[in-house]
Amino acid sequence: MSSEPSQAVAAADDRNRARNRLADAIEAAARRDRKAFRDVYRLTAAKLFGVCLRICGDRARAEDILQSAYIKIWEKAGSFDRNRASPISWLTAIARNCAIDAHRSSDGRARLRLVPIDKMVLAAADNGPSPDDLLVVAEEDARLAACLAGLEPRSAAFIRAAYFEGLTYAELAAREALPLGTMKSIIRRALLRLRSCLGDA
Amino acid sequence: MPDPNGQNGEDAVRAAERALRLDDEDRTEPPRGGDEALAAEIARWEVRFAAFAALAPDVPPPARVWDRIEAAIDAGDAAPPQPNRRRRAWLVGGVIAAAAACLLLFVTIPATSPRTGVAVATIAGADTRVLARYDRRTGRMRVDVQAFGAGRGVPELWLLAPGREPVSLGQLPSRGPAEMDMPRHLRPLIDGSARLAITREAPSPTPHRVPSGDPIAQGRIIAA
Repeated sequence: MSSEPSQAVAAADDRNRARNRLADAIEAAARRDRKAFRDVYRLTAAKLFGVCLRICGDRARAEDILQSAYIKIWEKAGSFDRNRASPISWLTAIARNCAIDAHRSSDGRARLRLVPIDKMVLAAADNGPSPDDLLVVAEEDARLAACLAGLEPRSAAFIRAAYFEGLTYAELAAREALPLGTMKSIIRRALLRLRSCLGDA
Repeated sequence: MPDPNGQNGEDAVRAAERALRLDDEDRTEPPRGGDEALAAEIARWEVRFAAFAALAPDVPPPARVWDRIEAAIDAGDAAPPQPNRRRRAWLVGGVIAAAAACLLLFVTIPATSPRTGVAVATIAGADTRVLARYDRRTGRMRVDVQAFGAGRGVPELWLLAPGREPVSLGQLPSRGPAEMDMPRHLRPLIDGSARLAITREAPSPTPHRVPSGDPIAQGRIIAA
């Protein structure tokens, strides 16, 4: 974190410019501007590939998923609304849904059972978001990170595992050797607290 | 101020569960019954949860991914094909259209399905790569054979759906685009639980009933 207010303001300006540039590119892609779509890809592919890789854990599969995600982005660009979502959040949501779809195919399910407990996710939850993480997310997203940090670490870890590994209630319960009802209660309580912390954001 | 534990809270939790996809559903279709408020709330949660992306490191993908995306978009955005010319593209050298194959593959079916959206697959193997793009609105599938290793035989495309025997969708050219109308009875099978596969087969005027060997390439169908 910068201790210089002017630097912080400059960083926020940079973020806003980057965000607007990306939003402009998505809107142009919706008008079938291929060059703009190429810019969307250039600006975001590394982030989205990181997310796909994090969820499926296999480079070849992640490449397939990334390809599908950008085709879907091309198809859905017209539904992007910059007043409702930051562009990177909107893109990430699409990529994650593509990754979950792939994971929940029969082949993905077979792989899922082989995945050991994700210590990295649990460690990240225990430590809370790092300052660097907070810097790269937009302000409204940073609020989610702060709210998550306020949850009981185990609950936050479950939510992160659900996000990054696409685990269902049943799979989380089985992995943690908890009754399904208990797992549902833990997560629902956490989601209620999250919602309360986020307010109407 | 809504009571966080009241009905509003319940709805919000339900939307968050859907956004995280905690229930054992298989696809991202919006909620049935025209519940637009729920759909909007799910979308809001999806965007909120996207902050997790900060925890995943950036990883530049290889250049071939963009090439494949562009090729798939080209296949999808191409001008409507000349039906006869394009349809013949499914038939490779020496394979002459037989009535049976035409009946299976190329009967034009009006697009009456209420489902919308596209499904895509990258069918990849050691020396084979085929992109497929299926448009639910029209029932048409376009494929682009980008690579097919040299050797005897021609590529044959199969639909692998859970609990069913492989279904041949016909033979493809060894390189280039082709297009088909998906037979109506197969359309419900084109979803995220199915795969497309390529086998190497002897040229045949009709689709084979069973593959002669293991697939040389396959890819998951990803519903968009």
